[in-house]
Amino acid sequence: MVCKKTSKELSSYLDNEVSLNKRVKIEKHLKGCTNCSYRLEQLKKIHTLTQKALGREPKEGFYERLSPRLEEGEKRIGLKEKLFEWRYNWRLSLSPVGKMAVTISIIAIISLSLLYIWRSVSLPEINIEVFQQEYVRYNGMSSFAEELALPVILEIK
Amino acid sequence: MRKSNIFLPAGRILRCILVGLFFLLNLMVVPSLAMEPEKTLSLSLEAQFQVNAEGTKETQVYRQEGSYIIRAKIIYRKPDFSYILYLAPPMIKGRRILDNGKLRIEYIPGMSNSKYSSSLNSSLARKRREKSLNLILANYTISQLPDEYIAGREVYVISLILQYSGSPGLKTWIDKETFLPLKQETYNSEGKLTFSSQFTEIHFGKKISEEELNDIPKSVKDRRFLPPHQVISDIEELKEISRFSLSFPKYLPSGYSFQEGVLLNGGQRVALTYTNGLETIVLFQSPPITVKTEDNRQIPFGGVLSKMGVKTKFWTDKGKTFVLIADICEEEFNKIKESIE
Repeated sequence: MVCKKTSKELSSYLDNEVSLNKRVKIEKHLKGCTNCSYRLEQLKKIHTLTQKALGREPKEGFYERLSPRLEEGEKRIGLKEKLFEWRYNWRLSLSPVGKMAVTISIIAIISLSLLYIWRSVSLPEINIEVFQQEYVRYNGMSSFAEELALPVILEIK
Repeated sequence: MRKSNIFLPAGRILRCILVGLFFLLNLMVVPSLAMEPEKTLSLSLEAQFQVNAEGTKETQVYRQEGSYIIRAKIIYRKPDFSYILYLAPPMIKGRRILDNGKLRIEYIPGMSNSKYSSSLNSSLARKRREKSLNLILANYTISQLPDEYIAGREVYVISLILQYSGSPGLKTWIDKETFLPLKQETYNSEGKLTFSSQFTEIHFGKKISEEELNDIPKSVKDRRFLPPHQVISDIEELKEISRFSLSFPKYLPSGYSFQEGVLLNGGQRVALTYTNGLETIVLFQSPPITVKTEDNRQIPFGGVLSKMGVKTKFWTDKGKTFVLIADICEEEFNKIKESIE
């Protein structure tokens, strides 16, 4: 068994949460590895201290005093901390490709929304010549229309 | 006495026959000699569909900024074929217009964007001509002037003067034999000459087959034509079909009446056309738009633009944009605008 794997399972070993087979392997490794033995000793100390601490009862009125302070602490978390928290979660939650996909989607949604707003605010544009061409066309349908000039009149400047 | 008794009835019969023949001849000849100008005008409207003719026509266009001449070769063939080949000015030289009775094709060699429209002999065009003629007869004083000669042919000269203003509207020189107009002068609302067109040469009777005029590609001629705009003659039907509520002018200059409504661009714009037989007023309306000029300049609301001798006014009201184009005076423009409901 290698150190990396053993060190991960030391805590479970202390709590008797590993199988017998694994337990034998860990003990065999501890006999030959001073690093892991040292880490086990440290863990044992932490366990002992924790057990001692858990055994103590808090002073009277501790929870009553703690509760408002926790609430106050929550309120004190500013935008900066929230952003930091959000960035931390964002870094953990998605792969780089996923982050890029989410970013592109957000940019696209914002751009399309802005385009829609701009189009609904600005009026469609039509060249005056479109109307004049139509007028010439209607005149061309008149009984005594100028058959040579009207079809080309707008093009001759 | 006996002899004369025998021949007297025969002489009477002969005399009766001669008198009868004289009256019959009068009945046939007199109307053609003294044809009413209205009748001549009416016959001239359909004349181009009843002749085989080939000629050269020149049109002089008069504008404030100067005048210019358009020259073209024209071929008419019974019953409804016509072909125009432009010869001048250089910028339109080579352009062709072909009307085969079903379609009217404006073709520019080397260009793929030919323009298509209904034939001048379509049922819609014939109805328009009929309505125009009725309006002309109601709104214009039609008089016949002394006969003249145009391109070596004897012609009737008919003058149309607007009854309300007394200003000339049209003067037309109509071939006595075929009733084809050989010369025409068109005047604007101020009585100024705007167009003068005339056949400088014309030959009748020469039959030309369509196959001879094969300078328009078959692909252009055979293209299926779908009318780009929906034309509606009934105002109530137009109101129902329109995608937005339409406004109509309550005031129109004397002699004008509603001709038709045209749904443009899939019904996004509507054009209401009014005519007095010769002149046209067009009122465009649509949901609000910005109107720009050729050089991309935005036209101020209510601005009047004069071009081709006609005026264009543009404004926005009641949540709609209106564009009014007509050859009428400023006062009439404002009266129409104010009467729109």
